[in-house]
Amino acid sequence: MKRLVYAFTVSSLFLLSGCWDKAELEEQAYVVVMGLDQHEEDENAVKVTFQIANPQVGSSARGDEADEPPSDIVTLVASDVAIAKEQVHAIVTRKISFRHLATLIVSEKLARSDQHHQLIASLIIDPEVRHAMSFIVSKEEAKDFIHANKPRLETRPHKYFQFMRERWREIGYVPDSNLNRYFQRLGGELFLAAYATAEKNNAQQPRKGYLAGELPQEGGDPVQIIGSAVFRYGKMIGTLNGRETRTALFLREQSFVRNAMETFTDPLNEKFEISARIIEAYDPDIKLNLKKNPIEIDVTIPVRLQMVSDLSLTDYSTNLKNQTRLKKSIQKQLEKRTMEMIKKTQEEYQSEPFLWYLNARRHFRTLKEYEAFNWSEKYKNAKVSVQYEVEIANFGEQTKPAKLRKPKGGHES
Amino acid sequence: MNTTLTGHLLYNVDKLKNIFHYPQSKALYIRSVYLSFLKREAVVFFVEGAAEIKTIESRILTPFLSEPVQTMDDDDIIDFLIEEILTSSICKKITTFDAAVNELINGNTVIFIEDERAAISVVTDAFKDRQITEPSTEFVIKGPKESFNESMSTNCSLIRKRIKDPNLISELLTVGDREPQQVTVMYIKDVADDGLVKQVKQRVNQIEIDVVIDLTILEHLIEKRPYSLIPSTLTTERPDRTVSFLREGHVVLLMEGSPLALIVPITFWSLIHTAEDQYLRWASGNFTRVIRLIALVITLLVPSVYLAVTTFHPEMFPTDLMLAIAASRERIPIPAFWELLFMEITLEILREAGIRIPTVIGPTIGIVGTIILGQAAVEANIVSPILVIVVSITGLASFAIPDIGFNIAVRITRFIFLISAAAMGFLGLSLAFIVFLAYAASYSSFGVPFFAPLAPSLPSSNDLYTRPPVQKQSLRPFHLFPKDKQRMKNRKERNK
Amino acid sequence: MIKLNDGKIGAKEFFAMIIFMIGIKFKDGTPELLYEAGKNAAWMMPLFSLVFLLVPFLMLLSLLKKHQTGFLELIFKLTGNHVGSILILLLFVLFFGSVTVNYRSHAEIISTLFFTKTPVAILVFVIVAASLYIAYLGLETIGRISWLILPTFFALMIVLIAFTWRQINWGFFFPIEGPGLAAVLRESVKHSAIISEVILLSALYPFLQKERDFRSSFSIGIVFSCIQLAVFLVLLVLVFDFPGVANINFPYQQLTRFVTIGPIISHAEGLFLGFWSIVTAIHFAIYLILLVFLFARLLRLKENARLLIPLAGIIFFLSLFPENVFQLTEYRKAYIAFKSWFAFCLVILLWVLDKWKGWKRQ
Repeated sequence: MKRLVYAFTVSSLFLLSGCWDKAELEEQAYVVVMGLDQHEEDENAVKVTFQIANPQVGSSARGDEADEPPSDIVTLVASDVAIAKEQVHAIVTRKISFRHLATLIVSEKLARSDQHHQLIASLIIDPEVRHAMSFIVSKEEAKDFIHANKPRLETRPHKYFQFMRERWREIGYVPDSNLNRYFQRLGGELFLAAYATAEKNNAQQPRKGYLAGELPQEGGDPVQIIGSAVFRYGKMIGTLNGRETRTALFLREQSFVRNAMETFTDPLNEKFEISARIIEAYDPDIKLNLKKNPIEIDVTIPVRLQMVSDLSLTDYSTNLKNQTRLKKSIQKQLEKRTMEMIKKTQEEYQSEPFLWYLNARRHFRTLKEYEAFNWSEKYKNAKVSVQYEVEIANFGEQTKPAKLRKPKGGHES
Repeated sequence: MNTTLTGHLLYNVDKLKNIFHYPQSKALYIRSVYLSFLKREAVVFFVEGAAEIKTIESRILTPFLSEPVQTMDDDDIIDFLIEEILTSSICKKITTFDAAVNELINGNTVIFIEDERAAISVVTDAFKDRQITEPSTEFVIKGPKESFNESMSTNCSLIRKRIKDPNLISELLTVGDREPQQVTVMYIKDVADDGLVKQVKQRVNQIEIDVVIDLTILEHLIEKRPYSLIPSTLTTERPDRTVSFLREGHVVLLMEGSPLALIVPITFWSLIHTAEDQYLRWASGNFTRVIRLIALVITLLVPSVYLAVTTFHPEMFPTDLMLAIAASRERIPIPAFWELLFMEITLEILREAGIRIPTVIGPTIGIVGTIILGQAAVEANIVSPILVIVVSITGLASFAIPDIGFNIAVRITRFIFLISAAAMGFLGLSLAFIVFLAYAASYSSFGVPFFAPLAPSLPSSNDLYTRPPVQKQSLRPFHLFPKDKQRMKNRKERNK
Repeated sequence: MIKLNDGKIGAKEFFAMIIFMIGIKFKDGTPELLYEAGKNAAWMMPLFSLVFLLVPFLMLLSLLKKHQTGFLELIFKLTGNHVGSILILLLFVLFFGSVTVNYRSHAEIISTLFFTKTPVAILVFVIVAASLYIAYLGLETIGRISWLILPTFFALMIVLIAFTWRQINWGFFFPIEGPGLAAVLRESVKHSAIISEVILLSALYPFLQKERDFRSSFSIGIVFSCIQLAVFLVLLVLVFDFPGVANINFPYQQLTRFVTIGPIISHAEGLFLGFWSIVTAIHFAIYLILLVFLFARLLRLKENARLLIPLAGIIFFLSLFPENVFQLTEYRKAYIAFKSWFAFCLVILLWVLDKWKGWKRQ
């Protein structure tokens, strides 16, 4: 009897279990980037672009096919992604798998339509689709963007986005947007998604913050990712340029961007600019007064500065008077920029991307009360004041700027 | 046959001759001698090769043929001879043919005296033994370098050398109906649990078999579950290791002709520990132990995890690694499971062949194995290079498991896990794992659960995954129910 | 004398069993139920349930101590043979139902997230078979492997928390009361069955090595389990935010998909699936063995491992009945509410009967 039970369990474990979900590694086609576009004529259709990694390119396997491209790009029209995933097998030999899909690219046109949210919300039903998938909005068609994206250093497309994501987290010109964050912010808050394009039009006003495509560039990769697309209620309503995006990230209570380079007008010599690394030493302090009407929002941001360049060659380090002036000036400039950006969200987008709604939630005891409060509506007219507490940490490795020592009286040699 | 000796010398001699098929067989040597001081005839028997002739000459014949200093004052001639005449230290009186035969085949000399109903047995055995050499399988860098040899008395002496304690009991038991063999049961009386000793002796006594060839066969015979993958006894060739088991309250069995000591009961921990873990300092000893545990996990799980990941969960690998494996597999015609199975079996063949192969051509096997099989199989696109890495790591790791029985058990289990991973990925693998773990946890050796004292949890010195410093190993493991639970009394008690 | 295989378990093993019975419920369909009822304050529910059940638990412990017998014998002793049989039958049916549904929902999780093409029947079968084998090896073995696995379980849970830390936003914790304190309290009472199942473990009272071990392990185990449930319910909310977490079908499994262990393992959900299956097998083995206890007690049979096989067979076939798990959700809610009150009332009833009998004797 005992042996019977034993044999029964063991055999059931090993033999009866089939291999239904088994798939050999090399028999699958790994989609690493997926693009979604609106169809020109049919409103209910979507153009799905799969970028499939080619394992043979870039790996050390011997006798590799040098002529094969690093990835295969297929675009087809279907009613949704799940159908496209099936239909693509009319073209692709290997079994399509989303398990290594880490980047989703949506065209701006689709993002601005109602169709967008339906597509994304139904996309996530597929268990292979991850909540941690990066979410990028492309100015042009996603298909064109994927085709144009041929990075020079990274042969493999997934590597490009993997490294890019790391840079976003460091620099903050681009939000590290993923589907999970998208789904978190469906209640009227603003969701920021990375904004990218391969189309260039050089900026009219340089040095004031760029959006993708505006950054003057020569050589290098064809694609620019900078700035962010602004979503509200699952629909794109506008953009923020790189500097604004970074400011928005800085204003969050729990921000991942902790330091950023910024340029300021030199207070002693308006012709020149001065650059500094801004380090957010602590979390910004966000005080809300929800009892007043309009509500009051007080934000204090402690920042430390590391001077990086000083084009006017003014001595700010040893001259304390200059230092105080510089500090004041930088503080004013920062506050002005931030206020401009907040105004823009209040007037143009009528909501906030700073996650201040989470701070507001703390003031309520139940979800019902919070929902009745209608945060976005209140935010529109809120009195916001931003204060930077600037501290200059150091001036780099020079005590004084190296000035040209031209002799007075002018003996030209 | 168990008849007593008669008082008739000739009859006795004839009967013994018959038993040994004399004169057809030349094994039995007979020498008659006339004891002038007793005026009696005596016959000396010994078996060729088993007894040492020089000893017989000096210890028996010389005293018999010379005039004794003492005169006969005893009633019993046999006792007189043993006490006054024979110069050998171990003599005994025997009264049956059975005993006589037993003594003879064990290399002793038997003397029949005219008109006596008993005989004398003198220890003269001279079986050829190996020298005490360095251990060959349980080698240590730091620590004693003696190992057991094929003589039971040498082995006993190696143990006694280390435990100078009158409480170290060695009991003799006999197994085998046709050729009775002696088994020494050793334990420390005031440490080992009485019930355990009784149980071990009972198991040995219950053996019904004509002959027990070796201690390793005895090992199988005293096991309760002969089909089990997991061993329930342990053999060691190291006297120091045996002694440390004895001191914990284990029971040790020794047998003539076997260079091993059999230790019962055992647990998982005794199978993965080595003597050196204790000889090295705390940090080094634990390091080697942890490395061995890692090796155990690698041997058990790495091939099946690799299979589960590549065929069921490709998302686990980073995209680059996944693509690299996919690229290397692109031209391989066989599925990953068969590829892995093929390589694993090849590895097992290599191991087996490596043991059986004559030492002269031994080194060749390594070259054949690595170059021909590894390199060529990869070149021929039969296996992927990454798989070769997986299999070699597994093979390397499997050498780190010290106990041979457990080692093979782990290697067999590895194949079962491989099949379950091939069937259902991580789900199958983990269910197979838990089923095996449950089986092992329910398994017990002489009433001691396999994972004791961890599960079931009992007080011990925590000499488990890692070991505490020697000073802190104050408790004997409670799963053996030692009578003396403490190794060291604490300082206060000692100072009293 | 060595007596380690006498069928009894120690304090640590019992503690581990409680953790694997109650404390791992965040891994199955329970969070969905709780989030629906308690919204983002669902994490309070296990704690409130514990408070609600505190009195019955204390009563139960005192009754067990007084009578020195297991829970089932206690029922017979205090309510008599007929009523006792009915009560135990009811317990059995309730328990049987939840085991059946749980098996199915576990298989469903695996089927939806990992093995989409494998028939659900096979998945159920494999889990049933593994847990059956473990249960067959007996209570002792279950205790031992629970204790063996427990450290790894805690270690992996800490890994899970550590590697999802980056996804956490503490703001999602608020509004702290979720649907309002009163609503949370009400729902906690209704859902207390999630914890009160542990009452059945007191049927194992005679199988503890020491009587004192039972009380300590029981109380520590339950408190620990509830805290553990609360921690994970908080964690899930902090990662997914409230309406999000309720929309996700299997939030724990989704959470494991965020785990990236350095450059070696890019997505660790397979690893967690493996470990989750191990824990699940132990979880169900505990349930099966308790079911056999109930069944054997009901029919006055000797506790017999052979009962396990037909029982597991019936569970296997019954669990395949519903088309999908969502069909059961409505029924499940009412069922859990009933079970919650039933457990509560049963213990109170026993306590009152005991007092009444004591008073009558005087």
